[in-house]
This record gives sequence, C-alpha cells and structure tokens, in this order.
Amino acid sequence: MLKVLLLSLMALAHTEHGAHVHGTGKVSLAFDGKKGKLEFHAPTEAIYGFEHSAKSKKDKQKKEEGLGKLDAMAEMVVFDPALKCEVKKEIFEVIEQKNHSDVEAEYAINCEAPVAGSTVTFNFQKTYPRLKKVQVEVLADQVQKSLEVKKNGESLELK
Amino acid sequence: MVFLKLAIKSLQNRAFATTLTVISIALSVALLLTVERAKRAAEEGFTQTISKTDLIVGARSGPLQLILYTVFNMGNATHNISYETYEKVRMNPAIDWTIPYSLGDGHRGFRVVGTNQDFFKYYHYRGDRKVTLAEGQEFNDLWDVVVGAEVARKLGYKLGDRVVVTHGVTKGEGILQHDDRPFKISGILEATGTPLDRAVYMSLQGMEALHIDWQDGSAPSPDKIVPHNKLSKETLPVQTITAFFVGAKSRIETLKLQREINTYKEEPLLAIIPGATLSELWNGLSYVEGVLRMISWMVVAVGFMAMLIALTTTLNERRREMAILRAVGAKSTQIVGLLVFESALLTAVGVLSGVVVSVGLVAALKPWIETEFGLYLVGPWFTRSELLYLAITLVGGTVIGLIPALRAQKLALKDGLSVRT
Amino acid sequence: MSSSSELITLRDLSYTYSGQTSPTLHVPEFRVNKGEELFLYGPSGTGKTTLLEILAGVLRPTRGSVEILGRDLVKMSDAERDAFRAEHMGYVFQSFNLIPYLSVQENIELPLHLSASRKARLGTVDTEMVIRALCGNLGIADLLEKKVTELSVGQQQRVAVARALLGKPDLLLADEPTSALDADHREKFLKLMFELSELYGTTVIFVSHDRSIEKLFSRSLSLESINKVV
Repeated sequence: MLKVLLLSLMALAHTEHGAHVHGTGKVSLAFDGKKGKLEFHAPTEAIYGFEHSAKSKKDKQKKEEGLGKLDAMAEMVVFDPALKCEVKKEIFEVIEQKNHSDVEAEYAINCEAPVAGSTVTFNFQKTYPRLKKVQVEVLADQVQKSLEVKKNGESLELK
Repeated sequence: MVFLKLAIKSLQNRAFATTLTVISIALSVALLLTVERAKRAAEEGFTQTISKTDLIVGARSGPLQLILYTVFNMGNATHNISYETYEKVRMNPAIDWTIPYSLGDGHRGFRVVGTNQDFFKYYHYRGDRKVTLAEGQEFNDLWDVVVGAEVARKLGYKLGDRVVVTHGVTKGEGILQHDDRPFKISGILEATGTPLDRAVYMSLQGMEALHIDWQDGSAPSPDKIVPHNKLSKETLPVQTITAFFVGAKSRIETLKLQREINTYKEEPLLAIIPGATLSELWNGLSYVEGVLRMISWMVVAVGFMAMLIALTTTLNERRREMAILRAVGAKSTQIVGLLVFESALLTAVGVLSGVVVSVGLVAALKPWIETEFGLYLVGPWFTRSELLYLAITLVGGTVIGLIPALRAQKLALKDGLSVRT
Repeated sequence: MSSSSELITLRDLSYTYSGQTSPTLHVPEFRVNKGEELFLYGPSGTGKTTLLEILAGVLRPTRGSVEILGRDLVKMSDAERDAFRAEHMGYVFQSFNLIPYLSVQENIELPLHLSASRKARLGTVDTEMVIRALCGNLGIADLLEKKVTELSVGQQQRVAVARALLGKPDLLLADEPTSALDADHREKFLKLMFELSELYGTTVIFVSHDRSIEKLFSRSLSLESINKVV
C-alpha cells in the first residue's frame, strides 16, 4: 500500500523549493522547548506591492508601511494563548536583486510552556492579502511538520 | 416507553428485512471506519518512517527524490557527494551526529546500503525506536552484511550465509554481478515495519570494495581484478557517499544549519527536514484520501437506500397497524415518531455493529497488517473526525427515516380508521 | 344546550371527502343519550364508517358541530381530538383489530400507554387484575399470553372488545364487528359486549348492514333517516 502511495507521489513531484514565486512566502519555525525562532521570507511584491527599488515618495511610503507590518508577526502566526508566547522581531532585510527582491525577517519566540503538542494558527492574508500561499515548516523538538497555508485560519497541529 | 417496545417488536416481526438493513448499514460503517483507520495507519507509517533526524543531506536535486532514495529505498541519486565534503560539513558545531549513506547496489531486488555503526546508534523511526539486531552482530568486517527482516524472510537467509551483490538495483538476478566478492551475513535486523526491512546493510568500505577495480561503471577485465583477500577495511579509502542524516544539537540551530548546507560553496548540496517534507508529500496525497472517503460515504448512502427501501416497501402492509394505533388514540405525529424511531434504532444498531466489526477486524488483523504492509495501527480507536462521521451517520439514518414516516402520516390521515386504497 | 342525559349531539354536520364535489354525509341533527345501545343500519357506501370516524374524531367534519360530553370536537386541535378519543372512546373494527406482533395482553393494554387519563380511569387497582377480570368476562382469560396470530376470528373480536372497554370509556364505536362471525357466535358476542357496556355505563354505537341482530339493541335507526344527502 505504501508503495502504491509513493509511486503516485513520484508522479506528483511538484513542489520544488527555493525559487522566487510571486505571492508565495515561506515561514520556518523551530523550537527547543519553550524557546523558538521564526524565519520569514517573502517577495517584496507581497509585502509592499512592488519589487523595484523605491524612488518616488509614494513608493517609499508604501514600502515603509508594508515593512512596518512585519512587527505584527504575532497576528499572522498565532500560538495557543495558554502558552503565552512572545514574538519579537530581531532582524529584517530587503534583498534587492536584478529582477526581483525579497524580504527576510527573523523573530525570537519565548513561551511559558513547550510549543510541541500545541496547535498553531496562521492568518497571513489578514496582514498581507497579496501573500497567496505560504509554505510553513515547523521543527518543534521531535515534531516535524509542514503546511501550505492558502487562507486565514488554517492551523497545524504539532503532534 | 410503549413506542420503544412497539418499534422493537415491529422490527423483530420483520426480522429478515431488519437484519439485512442492519447488515448493510453495519458494513458501510465498518468500511468507512476501516478506510479512515487505514488512512491514519498509512499516514503514521509514512511520516514516522524516520524520526529524530533533523536534516537529510544529499546532492542537490528535489527534496522528494532525496527522501525517496534515502528513506524509502526508491529511485536513485543522480549525483553523489564527496567524502571530503561530508567530513567538512559534519565538523559544523551545530551538528550532534551524522549517519553516512552510500547507495547504488542491489541484492536480488533489495537495496544495498553502505553506512557505518552510527546507523545503529542514531537511526530512529516511529518516535524513539532504534534499529536493533534480531540475530548476530553489526558489520564489523569488510565482508560483513546485515540484512533487513524482510530480506531474510523472503530469501530465507540465515547467519553465515554467503551473498552476492548485483550492480544497480534490479529485480531478480542482476546482470552484472559482483560474484567475486564473497559477502557473508553477520546479522539480521529486527522487523521495523518500515522500508528498513527491505535493505541490506554493509560498511562504507564494503561498498567501496565492490567497485575498487571498476572504471566508469563497467566491470574490470580479468587481468585487472583485485583479488578480495588483498582488500581490507583499513586500507580502503571511501571516495563518495550518496547522502547523510544529521542530528542537530538544537532545533533553532537547525534552521541556520540547513541554510548553510544549502548554500555550501564547494559542492551543490540539499538539506531537507525529513518530517516537513514527508508531511508536505502526505498533504499532496490528500486527494487519494478524499477519493477513498468519498467511496466510503457512497457506500453509506447505499446502506441508507437499502433502509429506505426496506421501510417504504413495508409501509403498505403496515397501514392497518397505523389505523389500529390511531383508533386507540395515537396522534399522527406519534406515528411519525414511531417510524423515525424505528429507523433511528436500525441505524444505531447498524452503526454499533459496524464499529464492532471494524474494531474486531483491526484487532484481529493487526499483526498481519503490520508485517505484511508495514501499516502501524497505532493511536486512539477513534479520532474526533471518526466520531463525527458516526454521529453524521446516526443523524443521516434518522433523517432518512423521516421520508417513509411522513408518507405513513399522510396515509394515516387519508385512511382514518379504514384502509382506503 | 345538551341536557345531562345526552352524550352526543350532532348539528348541521356535513362531510365531503377531498377531491369530491358532493358531501358523503349531511346530518342536520342527531342525538345519542348516555347508556344507549344504538344500532345504525344501512347498506355499505352510505357513510356509516365516515360517521363513526367523525364521532371518533379522526375525521374533521367540513361543517357543523360534534358535541360529545358537552365538548365540541370540531373546535379541538388534532392532538386534542386524539387525546379525547384515547380517554373517552373504544373502537372495534370489522376485522384485523389487533397488532400482529404484540401479544394479546399487549394489544389490550395499548390505550393505557397512549393516554394517562385513560389509565387513571382504572382507578388505583392493579391493571393486571382488571384485564384478567375483563377477559374472564369475555371468556378469553386463557389467551392473554398467546400470539395474536394463534387466535380465531371470534377470539380476536373479543380481544378487540376487551381493549375498547378497558378503562370504562364513555363511548364504544363498533364498525360491523360481527360480520365475520356466524349467527350463533354473533349473538353470544353481542350479549357479552352489552353485559360489560351496561356494567361500565358505556354507550354503544354499532353500525351494520345486517339487520338480523337489530332486536338486541335498545334503539335502531336507519342511517338514511339521519343522513340527508341528496
């Protein structure tokens, strides 16, 4: 049975990583007990609407506004309130390349209880409606999971 | 509780039709539950084939390909990675342990894996289970091989048997056989119910020894063959491996480690988090799950149709019964209640029998399914969604019962106390 | 207003089956006194059963009033009429009176389960004893545990009477219950029935097309004399 499933998987092989795809972001979460880290990666187009360098006043304003919302990660990645998690932005960076640019941000997470075993809910589109798809990867102690988040309210059980 | 008594006695009176209806509902519920359970077991077997490994590293290709050839013995790597790179990467302070994996050769349709003792120390599956030997010992000598449980069972191997390794994974006898290399079975692994059972394990050096005199993938001419008694584990250098498993010191460090490996300058490498890739793949399979579930629900619908037919066809015969009940003072709504109650009772008994059948089947076949299919039937007897399905079935059966019941009410009102046709 | 001796008063009653243009029944006035044993005769198709069903409160007249025990059935809701029937009436069909998958005793007990007030009419005495006594009177005491299907037609009809009279109802409606019996049994059956109905003070309305038993009743009427459909 597993063989059959796997063979159909071979045929399915569609998800490749690392590429810059419009509207697609990536979130990696890692936890050692109560402490964790979040890495966020998305094309700038989804964050502030364009990928060229901001020259006009209007563009600069839009960029600032979009990047400002990065502070609200705790609204996009929602932990069980019982864990009392604190999500703090540590660094962020706009990487401008020839044809496109990306935003990368890292967050430190501190909770009062271990995150493994709980459920995390994702609301990316509430903050960034242009972010159509986010590939979420989670490493929480011995739990490894992934989920493609396409709409608000999708959740991942870390069991 | 006169209606309970009436319903039970009336159903008893139509024992044959009642039994058939209950059986059809029971079978459909059993199928629904069993499919769900098989799905859970498959998911468990699938995502738990490997555990405690933070990263799997191979030459750059797709993550799917990487996980298939390392964990599932399927497909081949297009490139190897140099042993030098492996040595360098494993020095990374974030790394706790590694297991090198060298693939390529096959033994009568089973994969041959070259690795080292760390395989026994660090490879985990299904939580914290380790690879253990059922008999014999690890591959200490260059010519020692350890076979997986299924390999030993299917090929009837015992400790000390000599085996021949073919070049490349092929079914049956290989075309190119390394029959000059006398490998000996030093150990047999405990069954794991994972693809580990279907492989042959030897030292990295043993794998190298197979190819020491080969050039460009072709067998050496007779004059160039290196006699096997001249080879030893100490003198054989390991050139390449196919992949390696990584246990990191911390999960938080793993993310950085993964990025470092993925951007390794000297050689293109790919590091994946196995559980994340597996769950991603499993999600990609959700359509299979959907199809299976749809089939189960269709079977449930057929069960309901059988009930509807059974209840409706008896309605005409029961018009007299309804008139009697009306005459002694039953309200027409009570007649509806009686019939709905009957179908609810049928459904309840059907659902209950279905649960018993499914649970009994799973309990009885568990050992066989585990060894034969590697499906581990673990976890709770019922998940919340399964309980929800049972509730939906119960409500569905009761609602279906409303159809003949309302028809009966209509007939009862029309008939009054005499059956008019 | 009905006097205290009157049990039933029908006024200006008319019933038309749905889908039909002319009424099956039109009764300008009809009264029955308490304790009467009324015989209503007429050929089949003249609305005898329809009249019984209206009296039982199963059919609601298209027009007019049906007063029983001073209460107008027409003004009651469906559920109230069902409850009224359960409390105050017994009904005996021509045949197939019994539910085949219940025992004789269970068949007899049915009205008690459907109506608490009917059960209250038994008083505080033990139900089992009342049923035994009633069935003893009807000569069917030894049949109580039997299956309905093992009974002869005559026995079945007597079980039906036992059920209809259990709890001393005010009114017994009988729709040709003797037509399946031979002449000998017919008379015996009626005598037993009257014995009990007189004992319980139950008024009997009995419809039939067979006038040979007419003499056993206290009053006899042709349905045509009260049903004025043209």
